[in-house]
Amino acid sequence: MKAVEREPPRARDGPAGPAFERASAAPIINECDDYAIDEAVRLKRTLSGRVRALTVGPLRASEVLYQAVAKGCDDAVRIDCDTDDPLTVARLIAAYVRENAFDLVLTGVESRDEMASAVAPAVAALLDRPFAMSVTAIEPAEGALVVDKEMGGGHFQRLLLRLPAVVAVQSGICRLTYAPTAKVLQARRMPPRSIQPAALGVDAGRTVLASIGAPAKLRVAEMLSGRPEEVAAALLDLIEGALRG
Amino acid sequence: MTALDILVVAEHRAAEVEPVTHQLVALARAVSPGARVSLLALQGPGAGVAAALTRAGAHRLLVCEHEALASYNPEAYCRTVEDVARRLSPDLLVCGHTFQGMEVGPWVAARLGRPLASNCVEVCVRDGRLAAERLVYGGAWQVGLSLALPAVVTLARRGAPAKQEAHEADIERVELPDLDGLATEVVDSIAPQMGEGDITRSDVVVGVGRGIRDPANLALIEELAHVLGGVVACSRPLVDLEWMPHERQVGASGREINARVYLACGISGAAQHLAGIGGVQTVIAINKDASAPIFGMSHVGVVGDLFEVVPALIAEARKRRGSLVSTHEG
Repeated sequence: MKAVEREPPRARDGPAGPAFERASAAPIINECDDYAIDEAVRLKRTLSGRVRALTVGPLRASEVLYQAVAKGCDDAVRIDCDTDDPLTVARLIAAYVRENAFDLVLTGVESRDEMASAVAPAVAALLDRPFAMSVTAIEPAEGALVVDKEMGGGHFQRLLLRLPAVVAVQSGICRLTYAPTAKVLQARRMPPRSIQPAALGVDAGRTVLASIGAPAKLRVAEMLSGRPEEVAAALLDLIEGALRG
Repeated sequence: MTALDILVVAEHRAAEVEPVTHQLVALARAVSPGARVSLLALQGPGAGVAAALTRAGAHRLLVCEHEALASYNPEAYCRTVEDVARRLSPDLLVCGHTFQGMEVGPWVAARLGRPLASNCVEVCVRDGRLAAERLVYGGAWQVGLSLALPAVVTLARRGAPAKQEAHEADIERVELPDLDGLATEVVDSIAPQMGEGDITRSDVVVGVGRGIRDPANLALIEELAHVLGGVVACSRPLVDLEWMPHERQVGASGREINARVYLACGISGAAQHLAGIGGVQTVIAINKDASAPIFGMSHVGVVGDLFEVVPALIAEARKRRGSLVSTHEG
């Protein structure tokens, strides 16, 4: 799971090139990963077993681990590395998973900051395990999982993945639960274990950004303003014109 | 520097070549002048080679045939592309940032230890390095990366589908890795379910997003769609919240619409939503946030409260009713 900022950060020119400023507000759980945590806890209740929450991030990322424990994870581990490079994150997670026997690595399909969707397939590749992304349903089977995977355009695939496996879930796979404040406070009293990248034999790097800028707009919209009735009349003229056209 | 060697991974569903394949080839050709582009097609045995592949604009077409490749199987596809990329060692491997390519690209990059830039909106080769542009923070920022070659990229779909070329690529059959004993099995392929009011067939689509705040307010959007002779669609969060059914979702993971008018109400415009409206003739957005990415994809925008603008639109449409021609298909 990943800790992400609440709002898009500001950019600045740093000594090593352009960079994003760190927000002062505590980070939150990345939305898809929040679903992954709830789905993991649901599977635990169905199958029995244990769920460990894992994040790769600096100390402030511990916040999301407290939430995960409050939601029902048994314990939590933080790999102490502040990186935005998905392949570095994948190498760290793969090295950790290799040292600990997990049947299933569950994560979200995309982080809302980097939007790379690269960690899950790279973890699967490094561990040489079956995997699926954009998963909207998980059902346990004998030594395997049956998952529904989105294929775009409303198409789905049902796949059987033999365990151990890696699964990246879509938002909406289950109902999100709320982490009760009392349990978050309880979780805070047991700080998660922290592991250094060097202990996992991984040389952690960051992405060097060549530039940061406003996104290129595909279109420049004509902006309408005025009282709602005026805007409505202008919009309807436009809609009627488009339908006649 | 010698001409760049680029390997593009084709996508198909059943026997149909996905349009993204043509876009990827066109983008790959534009990455560097004189680039030599090979298109890799993975398919079931005896499927024949589709003209859509030979005329996609690649210099050569590499065909891999195996039972396990008849429909997309993440493991079989990843292992095959990895094997081909290992043997051919292209300067650049190009996949779509699609439900297939977002799995294959990072897998191959991790296995081959190559740098990866995923979900890119632009790529080109400059001074022997790959310059890649990608959106971050929900599309609020665009960042530029510089990667050493050889590298792997996945490209976000943008713009109109590329045309077929007259030139036919040379076809080469490619050796396969061992695909026995896969740990992934395709159990079933599930086609889209479409209930009443097919959003892909309506001339007017009224989209609604998180800005609607409460499911009780959806009645307002339904009324607007009704008076405009259109149908209601939505962005992903409303499906996740179970306020709207999945078949109403517009976007990469929902449907792509080709309406004449799309009216987006309270939709911020995440990249995954915008992927579904590329074929719309006129996009109109109503949103309180002037910096919402939806305005970057709209022809006309209104920065305002949908709870003020939509009732005014309904009232105005009612007033004019009779003069509005409904061209609702189907």
